[in-house]
Amino acid sequence: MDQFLEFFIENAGIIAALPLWTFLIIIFGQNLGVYDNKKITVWLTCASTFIGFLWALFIFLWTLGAEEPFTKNIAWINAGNIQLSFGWLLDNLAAVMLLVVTSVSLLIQIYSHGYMNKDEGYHRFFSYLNLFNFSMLGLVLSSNLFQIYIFWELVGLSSYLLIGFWYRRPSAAHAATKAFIINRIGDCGLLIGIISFLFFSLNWWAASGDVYLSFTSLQPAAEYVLTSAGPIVYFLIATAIFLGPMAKSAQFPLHTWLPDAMEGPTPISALIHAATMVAAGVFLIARAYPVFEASSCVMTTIAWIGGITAFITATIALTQYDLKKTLAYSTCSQLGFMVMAMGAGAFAAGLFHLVTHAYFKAMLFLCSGTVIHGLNDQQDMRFMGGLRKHMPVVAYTYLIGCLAISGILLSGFWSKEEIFSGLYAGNNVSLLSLGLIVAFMTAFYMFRTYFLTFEGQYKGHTHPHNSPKVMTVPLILLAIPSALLGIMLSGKFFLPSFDKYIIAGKESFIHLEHNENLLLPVISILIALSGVLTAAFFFWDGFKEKRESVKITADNVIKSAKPIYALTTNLWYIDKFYYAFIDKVFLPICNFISRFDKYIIDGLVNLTATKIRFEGWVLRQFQTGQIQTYLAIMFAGLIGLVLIFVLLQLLLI
Amino acid sequence: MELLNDIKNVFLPEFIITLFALLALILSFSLKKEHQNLIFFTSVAGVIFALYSLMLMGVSIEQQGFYESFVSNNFTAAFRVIILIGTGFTLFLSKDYIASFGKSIGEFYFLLLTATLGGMILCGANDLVAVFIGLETLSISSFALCGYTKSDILSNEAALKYLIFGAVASAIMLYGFSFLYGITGETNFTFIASFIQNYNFNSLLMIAFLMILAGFGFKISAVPFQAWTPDVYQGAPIPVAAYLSVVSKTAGFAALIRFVDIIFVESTLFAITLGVIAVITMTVGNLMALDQQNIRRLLAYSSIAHAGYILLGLAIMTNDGITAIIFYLITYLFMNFGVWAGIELFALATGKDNIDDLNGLAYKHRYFAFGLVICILSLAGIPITAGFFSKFYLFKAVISAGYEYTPLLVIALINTVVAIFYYMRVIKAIYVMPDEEVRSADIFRISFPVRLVMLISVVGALILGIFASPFIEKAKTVNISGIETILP
Repeated sequence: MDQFLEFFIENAGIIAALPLWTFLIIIFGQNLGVYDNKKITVWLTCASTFIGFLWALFIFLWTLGAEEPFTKNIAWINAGNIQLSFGWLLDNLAAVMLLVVTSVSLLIQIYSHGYMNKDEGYHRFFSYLNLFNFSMLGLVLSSNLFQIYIFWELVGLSSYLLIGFWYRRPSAAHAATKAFIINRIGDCGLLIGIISFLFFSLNWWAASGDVYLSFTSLQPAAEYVLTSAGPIVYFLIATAIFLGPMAKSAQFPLHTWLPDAMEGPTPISALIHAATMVAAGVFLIARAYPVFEASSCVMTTIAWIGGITAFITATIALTQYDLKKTLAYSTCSQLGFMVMAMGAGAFAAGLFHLVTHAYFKAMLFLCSGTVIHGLNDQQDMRFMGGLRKHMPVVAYTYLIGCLAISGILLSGFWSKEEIFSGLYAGNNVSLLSLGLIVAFMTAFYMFRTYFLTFEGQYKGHTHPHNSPKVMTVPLILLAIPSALLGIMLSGKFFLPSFDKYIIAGKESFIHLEHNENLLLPVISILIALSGVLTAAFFFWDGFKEKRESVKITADNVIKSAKPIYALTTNLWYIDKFYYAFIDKVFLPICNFISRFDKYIIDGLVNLTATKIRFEGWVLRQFQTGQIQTYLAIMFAGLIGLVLIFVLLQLLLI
Repeated sequence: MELLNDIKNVFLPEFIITLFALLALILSFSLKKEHQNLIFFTSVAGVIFALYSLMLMGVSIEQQGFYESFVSNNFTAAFRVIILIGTGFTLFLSKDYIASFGKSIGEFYFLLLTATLGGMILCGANDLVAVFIGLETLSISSFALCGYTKSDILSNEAALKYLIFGAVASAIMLYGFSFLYGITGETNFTFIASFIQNYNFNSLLMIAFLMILAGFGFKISAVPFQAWTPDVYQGAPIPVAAYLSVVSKTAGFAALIRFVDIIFVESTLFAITLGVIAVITMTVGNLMALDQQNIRRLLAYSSIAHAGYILLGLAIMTNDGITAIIFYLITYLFMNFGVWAGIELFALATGKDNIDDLNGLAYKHRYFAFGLVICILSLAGIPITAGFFSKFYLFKAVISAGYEYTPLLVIALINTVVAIFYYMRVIKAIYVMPDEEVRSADIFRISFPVRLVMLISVVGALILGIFASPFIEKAKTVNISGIETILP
């Protein structure tokens, strides 16, 4: 059995290679016109992901018995005193992420077959999907910071391609550009951070003999950097590295790209912009945890950025009318939760929320996709309502998702409760109260979308049509982990514990003891329930008479709190500020500097080019095409060389 | 018995090539015209068998044969592999090109294999006479190959120019050999080297060195022995031009490196000579290439420039430099054959070979254009292609050789920048320029062997660029067991 598992460990790179091969097969098969059958594409894709899933399952089994992480590295570039390698690192964290990515991917690929079936870019869509899978799995398997950066860029690329999938729509093209540029800010910071980290620890790596920037020995390296660079520089380096996760996981103030990214096809929103890629930022924080952990200032910064993101985006989600945008802001908010947990030292809790969130948020997005598909691309909730009668499966799975994300007994409850108790144990009262407020808002806006979409009277124009099985079956399959995963891994009632599994072998990490009081869970449930009730009061038809009798309707509340409403509907003016900054400050400076480029640099270049062309012209005069000239040149050259060097030799000796 | 042993130990691939060359000759006059294609397969089989025998032969230790006039070791094996692969590529390129001329296919393959035989002898030659025999075998077959398309005036002119120039270069070289023989009284490299070690340096030796350099310089087209290159590359059949630019040059470099490293390693003056020739060669090549309109002439100048870069690796006279040269030649094999295959595909489809004719190619044949561009970028030395790493490694070797080589390095770097200009002109034509004259020729239906060469070259240029380290490590081991004993 051990040898059997060894095989999977030794060849873990195959998991990432399979989607790459599929990508190449589809893209060349299509462009060279080898085949044109959608079945081939979808079966290849699903088969490669399914094999990856099984493979990940075996790796997971192996980690249960393993004591040491497994690494395998191949030397890649030897440039002077820098040696870069790539390979794979398999530990508990990687195994969990592999399982999440492959399982969610598989279900979403099946769903996409239904969703994209009528689209003319069907094959292109699947080739991008495979490219993304390759990059994401490569990112998860990466054994060192440099390699993770390469795959980090690759997921960014596939995200860009998929957001702009319908590139003929200007809004999609703009959203793709925006996502790309904002991610570039973060990636730039990440690269600067990695390079400066490497710069300060170069001697350490050379002495240690380990693979450069390897995750397994990041902790002593971080300590070395801290002592050699000093705390202030170290803070800057760690913050620069954190810029990467900040952009990728859509944290304030770089969160603005994620809601716009919903211009892409809905399966992409579910897979990339909810379940996996945006969680890559949290994954990187977990991977490079020793780097952040070494400085408490960095940890505090991370925690507060997470908290602020959770709060701001939750307030924006309260007033959105676009179904997908609401879900997008909710994703930002939940990612804020994870980042906050990471920063507060509740390492395992943050990852636990990542896992549970991946399933229920993917499911919520797929539900919204089914609704939008059924209503012929209608996304505005004001034109929905009463859809429970038309598409019951979608409504009930959506309800499960809402309960899960709001933290009412289903999986979201258990992971959120762990975050809260982590914050409580770390005495972060201010962050804890912020978290509870956000939890209230989460329950409110999620059930607001539920009531507006599935309850009441249908307010749209087109007739809602039901979706094919290929789209509803993945929903049902995703509903199971969304409901049960939390309690199954909670560590309570003699069930296995996610915490113990993920912390295993990392005793050095801050480990917050859970105090087993019932107060916190009860409070969080009560808060969530009050959020649901508030939403029901405003938006459920059952309370219609009551709210009209006390004259507190949604419109009235909006009227009485106009400035706040304006703030949230205008997305806290963050986007507007960015555009104004670019128009009023950035572009004028650019224009000014470009003059220097135009007149001085270009002038120099043109001058040099003219000179070189002239020299070329002079030389060409000797290339007459006559063999006599050639031989004369040759003899002249030879005699010249002889004269020069014989003279030189006489002088030297 | 001793002869058989010698063949078995050091001469097996050359022997196989000889046999197959003769077989090709016999087949060429005994087969009917319809069956002449068989000769192609025979030649390919010969190259494959030769490669295979090279693997069978133990090359990890140095072995000598034929009264120590021929050696076989890791170093010569590396060059022989490059030569054989290059010959294989040339065979694939020629199959349809030569067939389109209709007559007498067989002799072409015979001449090609003979030239290869000469090149391989040149690699392992350890004796002045053996060097001369190898050089002449290679040269005379190449003269004939250049003029193979008899009805083409340019081809005739190329052959004649190549012949006259080659004859003069050989004569000068032979004169140099006679000087060397006169000084030392020996023709064997090893004996000459041991004699020179105890020899008081004088001008006679310098003159001998420079004259011998003329012969090698002619083969690798170094300035001032380069003048034939553009005319011959333009006139000769395309596969022959590709062969001259890679295989013939590799053979010349193999002999030159062994010659310099064994005999003339002692004095810095030789290093200075080589360094000066190197920078002049690359500068002249790049400057002349700037305004070329014909892509074959452009490639000729580009190949002169590349010879300059490679000579730089020899001029620093370190082990690192030799490693860099071997890696450079491997990458050069792929990227240059890629471009030549592209040119041949285009010429077969349209019959044109000006840069302007490539205008808007990317919108017609995007894969073809993409492959061509990858190879051109690789020649220019743009990252992630093989050309970047070979240049990078070469320049790194120059830096680590010592501060006195910094001026050479600076000139080489400036040259690299200048070179990008004319490579970019080709890419600009392919991707940016409008497609005014519509060329509807369908490249995808033409010549599977040529497309195969192109594919292999592009893949090679990319893989060598992305995974350079393993190959460089391999090149290092070649060098250590090869001639490290002689180098300081």
